[in-house]
Amino acid sequence: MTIKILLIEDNLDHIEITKRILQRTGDDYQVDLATDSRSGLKKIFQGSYDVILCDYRLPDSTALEVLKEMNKKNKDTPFIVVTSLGNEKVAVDLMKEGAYDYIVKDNVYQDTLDMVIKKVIDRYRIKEEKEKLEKQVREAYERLKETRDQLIQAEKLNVIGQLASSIAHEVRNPLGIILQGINYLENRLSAKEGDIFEILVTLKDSIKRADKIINSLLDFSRAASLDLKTEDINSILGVSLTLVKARCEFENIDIIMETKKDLPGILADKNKLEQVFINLLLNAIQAMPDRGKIIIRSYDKQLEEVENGVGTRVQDNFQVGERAVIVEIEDEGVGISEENLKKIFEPFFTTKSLGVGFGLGLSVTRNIIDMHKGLIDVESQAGKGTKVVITLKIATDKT
Amino acid sequence: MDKRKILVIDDEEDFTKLIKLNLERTGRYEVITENKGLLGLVTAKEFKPDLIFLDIMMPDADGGDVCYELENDKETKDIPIVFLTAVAKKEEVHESWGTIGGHPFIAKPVSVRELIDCIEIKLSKI
Repeated sequence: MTIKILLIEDNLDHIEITKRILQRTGDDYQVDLATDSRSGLKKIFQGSYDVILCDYRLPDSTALEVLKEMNKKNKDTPFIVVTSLGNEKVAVDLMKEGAYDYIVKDNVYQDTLDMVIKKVIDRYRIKEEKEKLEKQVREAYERLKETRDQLIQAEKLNVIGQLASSIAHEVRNPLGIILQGINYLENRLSAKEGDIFEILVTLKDSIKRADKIINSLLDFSRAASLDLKTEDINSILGVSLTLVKARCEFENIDIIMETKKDLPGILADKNKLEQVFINLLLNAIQAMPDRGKIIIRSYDKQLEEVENGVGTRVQDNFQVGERAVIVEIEDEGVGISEENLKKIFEPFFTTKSLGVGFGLGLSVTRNIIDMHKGLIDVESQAGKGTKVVITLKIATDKT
Repeated sequence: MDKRKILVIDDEEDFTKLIKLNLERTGRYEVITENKGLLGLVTAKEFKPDLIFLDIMMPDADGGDVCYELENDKETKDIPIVFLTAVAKKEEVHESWGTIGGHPFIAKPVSVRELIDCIEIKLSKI
């Protein structure tokens, strides 16, 4: 195996001696020569040597300066300094600067040169191996940590899911028994007992309420995982509308669609977003107990201003200048007061009267939008209606 | 008119008792209930119902397994099965007459009306 040496030395005799010593070893030493520090450094940075053998005293500098130059540029090549007798202090400085070894120009020079070179090369190789292994260990550790975190997260979601299912089962069975019991009583009653009928209706409503809470609980646990695909926002809105249409007709609510055609596809979980829009539409309907209209808009726009969630930081969901798809659901209902506006996304916060709302809808909605890396904003004034604005990410080729 | 035979397989005894009471009061149905999932197949073969309501989560047997047994026995494979489940939502039923493994399901808590509608729709197709 060839060992490439750069000899930085200006004394011609010494050069000869060194060359002959290396030749005598029988090993394949390829010796390159530089007679001062400038040409030496040039060769160091241009080439790749296995070892540098540098005389301490050079015509234009010292080995210490050469070593410092190498360190400035992070050039790490095994560096052996050749010193004359009496310069041991200097040798220590050199070792501190990073020299691998030093050799003294005395009568045992010829015996020790070959050995020192081999030793230095060996050390260098071992150091490289060690650094490589350390890097591998670090990377393996990072990967392991990441896997561990993912497992913990999955376990948490799994536990939530199981808990939700258990609760759903345990609560819905007794509810079912009660409902069947009420059905039986309804059947046994005659028209004369109108007041009892009313009570039974109240009981059925209570069952529905309890059932809806179970739904929200299941939503919470399911919202944990999204099935993201490229979807058309208008078709999702369409499906959501179909599901609330009957209710709208019953409550005399007009729906006005102001959707833009051929919008870019969004990256979304269709079922979850349908849930979101159904929730928002139901809220709008409930805000207009007499009659009213709901306007549904969809469009895309370039986000120009820095606002909530739109900025220039990595943690902002959207970057300034990014294009996004926007959905607005606006009603002319009772609106939300300023103090309530701050609380609407809190779980279990509700101003709806008993039997109508239970307070989990908006927090689940917000949760779903968050998981889509979207934004949801509510503008409202008491007595003046409410507008909910949802901003969603456009699916790109990369997603 | 011949009464339709309905088999209800669900571990909740109070639930099945009431369903039987409510459905039979209409005069249109004869109801057998089975509270042990493991005996579902045996009871079905003995009773030969026109339709089976099958609970999914039972302590002694999985509704899915019972369904598999019913599908794979030549005496019961053609009997329509409707799952009863506590972990689905009523909206999911409306969306697509939701099916689990090819069989429709209704979401608990169920009312008598829902059971009757389901029976009439499923059996009128025959």
